[in-house]
Amino acid sequence: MRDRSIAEQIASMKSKFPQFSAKFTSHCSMKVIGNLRPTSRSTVYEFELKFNLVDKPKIRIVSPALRKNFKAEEIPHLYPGELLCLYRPKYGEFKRTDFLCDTIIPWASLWLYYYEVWHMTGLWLGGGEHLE
Amino acid sequence: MLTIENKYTQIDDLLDKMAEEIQLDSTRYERMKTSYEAVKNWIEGDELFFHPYRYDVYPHGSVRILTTVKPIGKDEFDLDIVIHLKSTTPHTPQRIYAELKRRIGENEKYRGMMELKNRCIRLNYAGDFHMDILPGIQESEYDQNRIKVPDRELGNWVSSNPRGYAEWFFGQANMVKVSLLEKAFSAEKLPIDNFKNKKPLQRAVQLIKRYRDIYFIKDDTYKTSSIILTTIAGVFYSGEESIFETIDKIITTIRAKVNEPIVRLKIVNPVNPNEDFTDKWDTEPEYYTEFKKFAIHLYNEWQKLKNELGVLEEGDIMKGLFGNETFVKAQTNQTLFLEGLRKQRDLGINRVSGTLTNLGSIGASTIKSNTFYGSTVE
Repeated sequence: MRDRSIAEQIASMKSKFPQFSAKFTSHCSMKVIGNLRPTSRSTVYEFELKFNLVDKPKIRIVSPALRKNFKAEEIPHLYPGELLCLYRPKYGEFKRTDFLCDTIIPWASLWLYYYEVWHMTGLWLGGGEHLE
Repeated sequence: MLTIENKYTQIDDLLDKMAEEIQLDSTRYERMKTSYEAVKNWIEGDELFFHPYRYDVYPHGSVRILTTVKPIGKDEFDLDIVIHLKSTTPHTPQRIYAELKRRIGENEKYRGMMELKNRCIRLNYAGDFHMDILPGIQESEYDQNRIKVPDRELGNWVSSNPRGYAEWFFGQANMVKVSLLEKAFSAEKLPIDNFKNKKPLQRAVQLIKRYRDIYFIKDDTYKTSSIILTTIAGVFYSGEESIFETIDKIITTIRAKVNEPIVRLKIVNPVNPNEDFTDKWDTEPEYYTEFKKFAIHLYNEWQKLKNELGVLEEGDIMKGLFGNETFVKAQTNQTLFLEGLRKQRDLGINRVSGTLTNLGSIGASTIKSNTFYGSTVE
């Protein structure tokens, strides 16, 4: 299977999530802005996703600002710059043949779900692995 | 549909799971049943007095109506049982009490556990539960439920109707045919587990009692009794489908009633209108004052939950009302259920809201498997 072009990524994003804003930022890069609400009683989170044909997708929460939990623990599964760590590159869970709308977006909603549960319970219940 | 997809089922699922956490667990229930059967057999084996009479032995109270709540701090449940002799018994309730005391005292094991109370005899199963045995004689052959029980302080007998009360309570609880959670789960053909036998009214009573235990934890001098709370809940309930609405209806009605000037709220025994459960509210008005504060606080917190403040703030409200540990366990159980769906690749995302859902829902896309990774520390 061939890699997805930026045009295909934008078109698929608009088709799956028409309320998001998905735009070219150059001929080989794009940006998506939208809202996610992981459960019906959750806060609505605004995210920003940046993607180009060279780097890994970068997604971060714009608002409300992420914060430590009641135990003052650092937020799990983040890269520096508060980018969400949604998959392990080594396992090939996200490939350039995948659509962002089928991977990064639902994973971000899942991440937010576990982030909220982590605030309420003090436990990260979504599994995962840490940098060694 | 997943419960977290709908704002009403999401909170009801949590309330249901919290009630499940605080109730009598099935292993202890089995132990209680065994002990109760043993006591029953011991009494039935009495050749001297009990043997020739016709009687029933049955539990009453919260175990019977399925509204048990684990006490905070100590770990002992109440089990209330009745020894109900038929109306043809030619004895006084005092005589029955004396014979019961004799018979129980004849058993070496029970003798050390026995404690004489005003109307009943208590057996203490240390660290586990205590069994209050209430002896009674049926008042007339036309009413199978009403009994005369001895009252040692009064030196007389009083009328009691524990089985009639339970029938009344079940009648109220069953005003709703199918609860919100039953509907949500049956629509998805998911296994219906704990709430199958628990109606919203029973869950509401459990949660209100737990809230009472926490509210009065520092000073329980004027703590509202369980019989008052259970009866108020039953009287003000009007068939709401969800646990959330049930508590809302009950607490909103209480607030309206206690705000009425001059007349105080009066809660009578629904199966014996001559018995005012709240008669103490006249003789010791502090009970009523404290009850009002307790009720208004719950009302105010409940209104906040209607405002959709986000799950984090809601979590804080529910921790405050029902206890941190109870909330955390319930939330964890809800999440582990979702985690199970994720592992089976049955989890999806709603394309409009980005809300998690299960596959098969309209507008859902599958979520591929992923491994959360990384750390802020490099």
